[in-house]
Amino acid sequence: MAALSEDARQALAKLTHYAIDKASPYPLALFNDCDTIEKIMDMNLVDLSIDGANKPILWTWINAHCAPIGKPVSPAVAAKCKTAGEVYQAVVKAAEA
Amino acid sequence: MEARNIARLKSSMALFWGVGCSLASADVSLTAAQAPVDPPWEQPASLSVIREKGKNSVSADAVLLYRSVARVRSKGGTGTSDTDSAWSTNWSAGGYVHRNNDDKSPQNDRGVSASYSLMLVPPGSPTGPTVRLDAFGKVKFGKSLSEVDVGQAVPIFVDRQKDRQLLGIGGTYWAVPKVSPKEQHNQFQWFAEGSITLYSDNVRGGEAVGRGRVTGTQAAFAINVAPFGLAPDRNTWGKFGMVPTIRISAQSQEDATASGDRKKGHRQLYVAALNLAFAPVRDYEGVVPSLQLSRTVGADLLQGLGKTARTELVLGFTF
Repeated sequence: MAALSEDARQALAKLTHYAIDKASPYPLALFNDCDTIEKIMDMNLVDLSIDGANKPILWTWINAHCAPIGKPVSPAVAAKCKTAGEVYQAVVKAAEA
Repeated sequence: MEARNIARLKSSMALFWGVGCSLASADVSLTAAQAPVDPPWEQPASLSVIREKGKNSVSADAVLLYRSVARVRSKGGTGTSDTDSAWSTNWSAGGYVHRNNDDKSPQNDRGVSASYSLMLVPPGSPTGPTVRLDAFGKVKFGKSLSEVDVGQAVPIFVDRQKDRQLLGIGGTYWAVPKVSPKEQHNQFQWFAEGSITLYSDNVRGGEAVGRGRVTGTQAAFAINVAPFGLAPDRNTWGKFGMVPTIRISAQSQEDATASGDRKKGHRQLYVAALNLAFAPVRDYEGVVPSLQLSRTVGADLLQGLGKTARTELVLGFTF
């Protein structure tokens, strides 16, 4: 397991937030209380209206753009993620593996 | 006749289980579906034997489906720019058996199917509407026991070969709530889906009417409304959160060509459904209910639905 640099972590945090914003109907980047991944870590994906047909948008976006820093998150791990924080942790773990 | 059916059934099931075991390391699932065409849900494969008035009837449902892992692609970029896009593709292939040797409504569907699908997440600002675009193709070959209307009091069933090909495009659009998800509770939300599908449906064999190929175009549109949002913990009711959703869909099928005994037709299908989904919001380990009330009017060639007008109330429990 290789530890990620701070720059790599920040890049993955930015990608994860952008992917969540892309999949969620809410315009997250427009509001000060949810414009970074740190501010929405505890929020459930369903509270962001990410469920069913728009959930694949989230993971397709992350897995398509995570290289070269990260690696795709497996469907089994992705299915267990309930919060934005768990999504970010899954992305970081896949990158460190 | 019955003994032969049961023996054939056993051999079919053995084949399915055998294939399932040999591919155990791959992403293989053995599931059953209510109908051979695009089942809306899946359930474990089932085999049941019912004895009534000294006579056995056997019912079996199994679908063995291999689903590929989705392959994702992008045109490069960091994934944090409004000009970036991404897409994924996957395919599936498998076989199905739906069998029931009941005298009144016998069923004997078996065959193979394969499908391919593509999902595109287009460029655009993440603060704009959420959009996904889809394209798909599906082919299916098999045999089915079909009831034919030959003007007799006793229904006649014939075993027929069927093949079907579908090619379609579609999209889903989520409207943007104008508030932060942290600020507003019970935020009204809606999203819409639309698709256009080209279909070709062929029936061969049997000596009665109803053979031939029908091709045509299907246009479908649906709007989904969540008056109080999709977060159950923001609309609590005792130990449960409740998410009411309303779905109204309209579909039109226009046959372009028809051959053999089959006639060109035009079918419309309208469905209105109210769903009440409950979810436990505190530490609760018990039965979770759900309720769906729906009204269906019309016909659908691809679902095998004849002209109908029915109201359905479904009460579900999750343990």
